[in-house]
Amino acid sequence: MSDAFNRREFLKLVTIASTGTLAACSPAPPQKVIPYVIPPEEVVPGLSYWFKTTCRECPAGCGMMARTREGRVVKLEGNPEHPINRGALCVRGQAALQGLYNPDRLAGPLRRTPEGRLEPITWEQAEEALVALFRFLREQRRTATVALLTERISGATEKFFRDLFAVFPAGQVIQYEPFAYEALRAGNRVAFGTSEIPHYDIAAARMLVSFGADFLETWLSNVECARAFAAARRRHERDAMRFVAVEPRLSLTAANADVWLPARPGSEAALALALVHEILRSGRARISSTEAARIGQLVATLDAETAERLTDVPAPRIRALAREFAAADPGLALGPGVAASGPAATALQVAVNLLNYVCGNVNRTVQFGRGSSWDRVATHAEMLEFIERMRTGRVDVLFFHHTNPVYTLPPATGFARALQRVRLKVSFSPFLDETTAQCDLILPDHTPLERWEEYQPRAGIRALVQPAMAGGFHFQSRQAADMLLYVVSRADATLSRQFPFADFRAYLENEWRAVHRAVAPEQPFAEFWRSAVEAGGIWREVPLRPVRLSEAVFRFDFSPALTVHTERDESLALLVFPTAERFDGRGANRPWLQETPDAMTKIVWSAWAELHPETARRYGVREGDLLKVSSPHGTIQLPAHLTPTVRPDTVAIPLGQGHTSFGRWAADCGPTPLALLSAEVEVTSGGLLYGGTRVRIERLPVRRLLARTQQETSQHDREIARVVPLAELVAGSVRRDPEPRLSIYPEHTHDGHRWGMAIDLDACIGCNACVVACSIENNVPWVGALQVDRGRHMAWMRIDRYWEPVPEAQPVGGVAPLETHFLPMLCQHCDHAPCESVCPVYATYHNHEGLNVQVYNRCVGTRYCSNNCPYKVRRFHWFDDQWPWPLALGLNPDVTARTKGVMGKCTFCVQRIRTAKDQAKDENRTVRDGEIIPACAQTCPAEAIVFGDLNDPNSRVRQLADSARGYHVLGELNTRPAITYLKKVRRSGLDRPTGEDG
Amino acid sequence: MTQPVPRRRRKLTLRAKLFLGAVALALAATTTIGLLTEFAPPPGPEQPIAFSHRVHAGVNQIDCLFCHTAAERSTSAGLPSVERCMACHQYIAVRRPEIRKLADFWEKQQPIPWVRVHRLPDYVYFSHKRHVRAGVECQTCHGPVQQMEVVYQYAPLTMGWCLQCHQQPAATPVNVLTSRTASPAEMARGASRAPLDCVTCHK
Repeated sequence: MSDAFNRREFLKLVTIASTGTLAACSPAPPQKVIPYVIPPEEVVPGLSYWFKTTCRECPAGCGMMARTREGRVVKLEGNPEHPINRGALCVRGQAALQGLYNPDRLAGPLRRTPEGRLEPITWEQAEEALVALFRFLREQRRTATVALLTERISGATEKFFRDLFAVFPAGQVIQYEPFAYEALRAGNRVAFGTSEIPHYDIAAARMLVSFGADFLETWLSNVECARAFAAARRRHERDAMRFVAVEPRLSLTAANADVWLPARPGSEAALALALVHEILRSGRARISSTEAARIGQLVATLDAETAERLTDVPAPRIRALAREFAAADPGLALGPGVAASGPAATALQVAVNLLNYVCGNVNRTVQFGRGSSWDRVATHAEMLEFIERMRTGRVDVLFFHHTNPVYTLPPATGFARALQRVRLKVSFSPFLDETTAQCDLILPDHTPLERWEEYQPRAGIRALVQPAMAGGFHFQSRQAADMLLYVVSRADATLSRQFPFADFRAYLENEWRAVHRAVAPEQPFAEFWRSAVEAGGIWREVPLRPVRLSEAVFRFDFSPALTVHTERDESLALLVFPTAERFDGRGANRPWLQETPDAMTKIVWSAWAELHPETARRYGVREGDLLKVSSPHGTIQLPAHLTPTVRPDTVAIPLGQGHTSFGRWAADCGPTPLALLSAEVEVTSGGLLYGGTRVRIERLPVRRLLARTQQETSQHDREIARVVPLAELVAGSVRRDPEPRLSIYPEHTHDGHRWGMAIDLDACIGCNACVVACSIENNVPWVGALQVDRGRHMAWMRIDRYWEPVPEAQPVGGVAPLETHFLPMLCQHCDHAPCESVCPVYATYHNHEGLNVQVYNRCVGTRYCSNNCPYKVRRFHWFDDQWPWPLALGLNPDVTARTKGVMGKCTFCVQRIRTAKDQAKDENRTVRDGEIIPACAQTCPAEAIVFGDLNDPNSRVRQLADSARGYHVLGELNTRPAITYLKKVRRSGLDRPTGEDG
Repeated sequence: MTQPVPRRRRKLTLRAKLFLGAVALALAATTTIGLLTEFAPPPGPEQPIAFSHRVHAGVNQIDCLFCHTAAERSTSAGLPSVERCMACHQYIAVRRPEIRKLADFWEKQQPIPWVRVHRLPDYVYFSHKRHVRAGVECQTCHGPVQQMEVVYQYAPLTMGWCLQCHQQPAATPVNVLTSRTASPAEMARGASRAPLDCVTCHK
């Protein structure tokens, strides 16, 4: 053996030897290459094609682009031209891919046998059954009541279903959304005489006060709100936008606030009214004195002291908040979200309206005419009426269209029981959800990525949903509207004349002839239609419709606002809140969403009950102990999570888990708090009472696994996420923190490009959109709760969350104020990468463009790199990834799907770098700044992530990297990361609590 | 008195030694064979239709890109659709048994299940477009296809084989046309202009 024989030589030989033995084995079985019979026009294998469509994962209606390869959707991104989301997309929208390819989708139509089993049938049989039903119903003109229970629909889709069900004498279309914003609608009707939900111009606001509106998570249109919020936050001026969040639990939205006021649950309305009172009293209102006097009378009794008693917020702080809000020009107050929808929800919305009105924000930041109408969405009270009709046998046939009320309505409403009295239940759901499992005939619809639809999220936007790929690729689904068109044409000659369309696409196109006449009559229709489909719809600026204060507000009964549970007893307030990942429960069957850590608790794959440590001590509860939570309406059992981010008199439980029939990934993830809610409605608005329930808790002698991706909440003074005071930034006195510049090796030269990233911690809202985008783009697998608990979470990107006590600030309601930091953490692509030097096989190295490259086929899985990485961003593949068919169809064909035994990590989306360079080379130029956008940066609603060439002095990333706020995480280790973080800006509220009056 | 026991043990050790020796010999032999022998192209597989590249690309001089249309536009070269085959064979040689097979696929509107000849591992991303646009002849990697009655894998398609070209100095015509990765300084040292970075193919 020569002297040159070193470790690397040895490993090489060993590898060769083993390949030699393997080569002697039989070759891999021959593979087939299958060409097209007739190639689709303009589809070249290996190239990506994009289709613009509209996201239907919630009623917000963001514009979406679907990237397809060889006819399969492989990635969903926001449509950059769409007025709502401008290219960003939230976690749910992106995970729609896992709805499309979900192996738990129904394979084909099903029918209930007389014995009560569900048996598969052919579509021909299903058609026959439906035709027979339609004929029967048309003949039985007098008696049969036929209803369609659908999600929120609009435009041509709504007209279609309305006209179609109007052919039955007692036909009815009910739009049902679990989050129906009844209080917003009722509150606006009282205050302004319109039930429209206005457009809130968050970007223009100088001060934002949210009364339980979780606008960064689920409220109304979370991507749009997040974009606007980030735009407002970007103004680093002396009077930069300040944000105060009033809610009993530190939600993700409240975590982004400068001041969090944990008011008593249900007391938000009292606080809003007290603010009106104080503003009027101090003469800072921007309304006429007569009006001020009249409104003053309304709120006469609610001075700051009374409010303190009700809300727990000290009177001086209320007065200071009033002063500050009145001074903001303009300000904006936002009304209740789901978690704040208690008995005083409408009172809160009226109070918020008054607050906006007296400060002159209405018709400025509160813009009617540009909002959305929810009039045709049933209120909870209307749903209860409908349940009563079902229960008394007055509904004969019920169709379900993308709704799951058996799950989303509280069991106390008795929906499931009433449903049994309906003679025939037909479901169009693609999944065997709780409602569909009760149905007699199941006709699985396409998912929104395979169907045609029109949707109008708000005034001025007519969005189109178009198939990004052909339906029926694996599951024999059919679009419900197509099916109905076919059935009516067969059932009845008069009907076939009324609906002379081969499919819903033809119907939609025909409907759009009217749109064409109204919008662009000079253009040929075919061209207009094509361009509308290509763009994902049409939109225009809508004029503002000014509103005035309605007289009804002076007759409004504010008493619910004053009936706040203030006694100290054994019961706790129940706070039911939705999460961005699971919304009303529809996200529970997508493993990417289940494995996305909750933004605040970092819990995966489970429901939990948040308890303040002090409450936990009182009940002797430890982290993970199983709790029995009981209300007068029901009992659930779920593990406890101890956190200082909730009031001690409150127990907070997320919505969305607790499915009994929604596929393998929704199962066994804990209960839903809906079981604890009453069937009562909020009197004024008819809204579901998500809030206002009192519960008792009891510790059970069992512990449950509560897998979290981050246990630590404190930075322990390590200054990982850094902060700069706004005053210093405005004064221009911010200096870069010193960092070592030592090296015993020659420096990397980086000729040509030097890829780098800048992450603005002041913009980041911690919403996880980047995390999901990264996982989808890079074929990152999920591993389940048990493996996450063992520290084997696979996400290449994570958002570290820290909270620190604010030293000077006084506690409110027994909760110490906290300052939250979100820190997106991914491979830093260090110049002095600790991982590179320890790899025995050179599987990770620094390339000439500054990328820290991981070569999977070289990696032998020693995991030395991961051990030596100070950022802990490398992920070892402990298992061969499980991509149950057909989920594997959604894998990104440009990225290797790693196998067991290799290390993976962020590549700065090297496949996108390669694609952009390839394109540039074709056009004989260099890559332009902004041309390469990694998946995380692409989807960020706050535009917190900027990627580019650090060698280009004019690139955005270079300029941000040189910013005074810039620093490197753990820069003191001399790792020289390629990612520069920009320090979060601390606005005045935290170091100077709005405490002292005067 | 304890003789049988050590004897049996000794016997076992001998057998094990022989076995280990045989294993080591086999290992060494396969390794040496693997290292020393040139890549011998395996014979081409039997295809569902006995398509002759010699007739099409050789005798009739049909350009490769006429059928493999995506080769200069996409990462994959693409296979002709049955429709494309039929565009000619509606009229040409329609009575030949192999063309009848083709017509049969067309009539049934079924794709032809060709057996794959060239296959790269999943972790390798090769772009036909980049190589075709750089002026690399198809034959450089695929061999004299115009003479092949049955197409076989001409080159080993291993990384070492790829690097034979990619490591050639910048002066060779192929590499002048291929794009940059090496810096001017590296070029002066005679480095290749074809990229050598791992992420060029592994991503």
